[in-house]
Amino acid sequence: MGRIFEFNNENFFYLWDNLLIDYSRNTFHLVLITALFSLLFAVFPAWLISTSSFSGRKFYDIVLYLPLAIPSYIMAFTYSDILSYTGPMQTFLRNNYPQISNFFNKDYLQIEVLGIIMALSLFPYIYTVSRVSFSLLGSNYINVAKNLGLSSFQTFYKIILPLSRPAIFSGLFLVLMEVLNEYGAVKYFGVNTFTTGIFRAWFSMNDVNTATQLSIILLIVVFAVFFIERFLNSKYRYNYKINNNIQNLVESGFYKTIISNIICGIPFMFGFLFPLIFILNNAISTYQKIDLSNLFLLSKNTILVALLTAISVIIFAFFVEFIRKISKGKAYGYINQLISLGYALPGAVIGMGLILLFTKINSLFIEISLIGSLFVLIYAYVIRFMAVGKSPISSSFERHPETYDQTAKNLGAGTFKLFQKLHLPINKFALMVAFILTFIDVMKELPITLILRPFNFDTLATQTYEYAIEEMIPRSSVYSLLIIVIGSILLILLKKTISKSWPN
Amino acid sequence: MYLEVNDLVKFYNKENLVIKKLNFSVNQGEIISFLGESGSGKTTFLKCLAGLENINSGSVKLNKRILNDNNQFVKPQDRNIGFVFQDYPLFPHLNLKDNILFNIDKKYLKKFDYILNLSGLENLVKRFPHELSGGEQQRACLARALIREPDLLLLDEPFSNLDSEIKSSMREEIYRIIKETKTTTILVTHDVNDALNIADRILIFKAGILQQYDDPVNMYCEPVNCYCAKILGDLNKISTNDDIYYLRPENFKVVEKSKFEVIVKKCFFQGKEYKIMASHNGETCYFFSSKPLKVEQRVCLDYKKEDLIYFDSMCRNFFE
Amino acid sequence: MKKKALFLALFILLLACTDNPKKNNEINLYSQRHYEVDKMQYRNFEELTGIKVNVIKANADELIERMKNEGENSPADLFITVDVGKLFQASEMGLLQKITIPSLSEKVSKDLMDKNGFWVPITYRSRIIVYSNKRVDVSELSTYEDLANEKWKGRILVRSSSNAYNQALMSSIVANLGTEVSTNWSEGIVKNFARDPKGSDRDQVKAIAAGQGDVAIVNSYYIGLLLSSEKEEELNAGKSISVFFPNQSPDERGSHINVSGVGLAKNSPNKENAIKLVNYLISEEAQKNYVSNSFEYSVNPNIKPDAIVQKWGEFKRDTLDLNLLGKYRQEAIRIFDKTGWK
Repeated sequence: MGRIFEFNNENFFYLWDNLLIDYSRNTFHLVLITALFSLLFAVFPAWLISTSSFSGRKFYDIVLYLPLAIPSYIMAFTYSDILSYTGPMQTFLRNNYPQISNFFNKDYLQIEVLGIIMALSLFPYIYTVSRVSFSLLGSNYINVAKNLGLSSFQTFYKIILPLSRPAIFSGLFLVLMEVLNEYGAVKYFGVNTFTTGIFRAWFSMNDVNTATQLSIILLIVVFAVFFIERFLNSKYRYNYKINNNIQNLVESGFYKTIISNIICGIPFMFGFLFPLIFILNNAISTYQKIDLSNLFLLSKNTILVALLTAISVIIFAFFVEFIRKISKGKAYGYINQLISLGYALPGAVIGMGLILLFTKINSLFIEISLIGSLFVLIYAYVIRFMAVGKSPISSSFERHPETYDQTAKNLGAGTFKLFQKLHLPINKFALMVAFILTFIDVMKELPITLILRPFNFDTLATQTYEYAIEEMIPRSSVYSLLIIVIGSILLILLKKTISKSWPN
Repeated sequence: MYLEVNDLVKFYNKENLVIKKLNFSVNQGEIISFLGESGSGKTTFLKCLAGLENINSGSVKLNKRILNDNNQFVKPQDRNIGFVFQDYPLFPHLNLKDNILFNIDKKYLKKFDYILNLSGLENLVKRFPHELSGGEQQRACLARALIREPDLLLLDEPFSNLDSEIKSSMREEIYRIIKETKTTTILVTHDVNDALNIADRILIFKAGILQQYDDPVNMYCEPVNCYCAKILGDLNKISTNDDIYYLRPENFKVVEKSKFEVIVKKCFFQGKEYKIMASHNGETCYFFSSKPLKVEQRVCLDYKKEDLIYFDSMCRNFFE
Repeated sequence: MKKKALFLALFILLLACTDNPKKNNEINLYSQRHYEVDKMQYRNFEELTGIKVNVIKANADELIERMKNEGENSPADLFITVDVGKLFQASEMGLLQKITIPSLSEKVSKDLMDKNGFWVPITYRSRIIVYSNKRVDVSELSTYEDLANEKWKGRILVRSSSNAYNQALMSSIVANLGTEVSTNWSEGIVKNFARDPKGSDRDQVKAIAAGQGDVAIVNSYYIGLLLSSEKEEELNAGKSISVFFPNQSPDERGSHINVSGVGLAKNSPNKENAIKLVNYLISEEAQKNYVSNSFEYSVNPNIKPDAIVQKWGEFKRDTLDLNLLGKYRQEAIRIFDKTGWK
């Protein structure tokens, strides 16, 4: 830990003077674009699907979760290929409409395009929470608002948005952290963000200290944003009564059906369908070259680590929440926040940090090297994704009133029975949601896997990446397709789970 | 005595005591109404009895067994005290049967049909909590508590979430069930009618202090202070030459002629009779009349001296 | 049921802890190379010798960081990179030991070898210029230095300066011409950019085809890949450009090259096996394997590259001491930053 404070002035100020201002500005710009578009892609469809009935609603209700199955780096590589001069869009235009093809012959590797692409792959984080929040609000407030003479839009703007603001922000916060963490896609698009700066210091300048200091600055900024959000939103954290009545969906006329389909269709098509078709097409053209036994092995590895991590995360998160519930200690709240911090750190930074840590442990205690074992890899995943798994479990715990515990105790249940008979079954759905989300995230994870994996250990993600950085995107497509398929199946399962726990 | 509470003190922070030295006892099989305003610490008191809160000093004894004093604390799961919470917390993941049988000792299983029958839930065993009405949920909570044959039953505002129509029938039903099972019960409520209807004795609790603990009739006719008097019904203020007395409205009689003349201000029809709001020397007073009276009409009232209630002057401030 | 599953999971976790490479008939590689051809080479080696080859693939910087932290406990035997600068860096940090291969000079061109004996080259690539057949006449092209000339204003495409191949190119220019000339050169190049540096090498070629620029500095290896693409449109893009080896005239130093090589780890637990593998990788059989399955050049002067690469003709290499590419890397990065080459 001491090394954090060994200040290497020269490198730090060199980076500061030459690059960091620029990098920070880029980061801010990228975050802004991504945030704006992911809100756009998430909030309106969530609102429409939660409140109105139109043909196609059921379909969109399932598929709008799916973009989460596509890793953002694959999304970025895929779109840069789709949009490129030799990609399908420009080729089609050149062959059929040569007169306008020139207009579309542009350099698409731009920060704005990257922001939109990131938004397309990240908007489900916001969509999921808004959808649940809008449903829980129910129709009472909407009916009252309409009775008081507000139009649909005014109702949305004046009642629903303020009430859902904390939920939407929590989703937005995840999006923000994902953008800050992104390395592969931003590098490819030539957009230097703050994370690029960390790697610059670390790899190009061989200065771990400066890299660590920059990581800490990043952490502080994330923390600041987090607490500012908390502070600004504290007055919006209303304790509204959850509406259990089945909400009546408003029937849509012809025009509204069309508009709804457009609003829900755009994020689905651009966030999932087009990339999927493109990847599928590539996969079909290259499948003869695939070594099936290798593909099977990679899938097995991927599922193994995802499974172990997801199980560890839910066990750990569950115990933390359970202990918090039965102990009610205040200091616990802060520890609780700290546990989730890993999400704000770039994966590679966690990886290197763990190598340092376990080297120390090895030199002090044990003979055999833990680094390069599956254990350390999973440990790193758990640190990285604890926040993802913990948030549904936390909110599930918060939703259940204190009287459940008191009743159970009163009915003679001790701590273990409380755990086994009450909290385990009552939070079953939340555990499943946490499991699925963690599983998908591990499956997509790249930097930690690259640094910490054991010998001869490849996953679908690392194989995809290896082909992609060697500029053999078609060859990578079978592997990325498999990630997407497994992820999609799990997400549909997730949707089913959510529907079960929150009807409507 | 069956339940004995001695010098019970409870606080969350030392400046603000929730319960200041509470002493009282309950006989076996009695139903006690614990009456107090919302937020006066009634629920905290129940939690102290049930062991969900530890007390700060004093002692709680049930059936000669010390549950809680300065040295000893019996865990809530070992107390065998039934507790029905205000918001009917049936576990959402269990159906009615599993809720009632939650963590139950085998020896009580044979009582399941009896309890079900008693609480009228026979046809609902497969239902989940969200498929039950408020009254059904409440009876289910009660059944869940009663099937274990608790040594003491605690009911926390059991009727506050019910609408007035089912409220009275529920009240009777619960009274029947409790009496049939001969369960010693403490019923916490802020509603006087609940207390008067169901209780063998009433305990009035205010500002952390027991005000009066007596049977309903005594409580109504001989309140120890004006707070207790006021809480059980309307009072009229009667100023005589030397002092101030109080009188229940039903003790006023309309007469042809008396010294006590009032002007009718409002007349409420209440089915059997009329409740009249009138003014006497600028003071509002209430009384009952079998016939409707016209507004601004002058009426003479009379009362018996022995019905007058007197409080010392310090206590009077409660009315102002 | 659920409990059983949990215990099972914990058990597997515990088992995973003990999953450590044992020190027997095997060899552990930390490799930046992850091509199909590498898998093939290792498989052949295993069949030939019965020695199991274990590989961890990651970025060179991360592997160096890992070796550094693992110290004496490091299981690594060999460190393989696609950039000679990283090998030099590893040797400077004391992570490598000298490696002696008998009769090395018979199998490897002398200028490609490490003067200090810490690493052995296995293949090399050149950083070349490609140009639009339509908009550029080959006579306009001459040297890397010439690309800073004003006539190329708004016409040059190149990827970002965080790319190791660009860093190596800049290092070679610093080593050959000094810091001042290099800084001026970098400034000139930045002024001539057709767009901000971004994308992959293949994207630079596509950008030429799209008309966004006229010349690009790219790695020979990627051009080979592009020209063997499964996609017709990419092949068309490949046809619209030609390859040019810069700095070829007799008084020039030759085109910049970079070596993919292998170093022997300081604390290699399976040193003998490691040397066997290095020997195998520079054998004629393995070298032929490299050129026929990738678009790299063999370090053995007698082995001809892939047919696509052969078409570009032979070229004169810059015979600079390759360790200098590592030595001047920091300098190169500062020049990039100072002159705004993103």
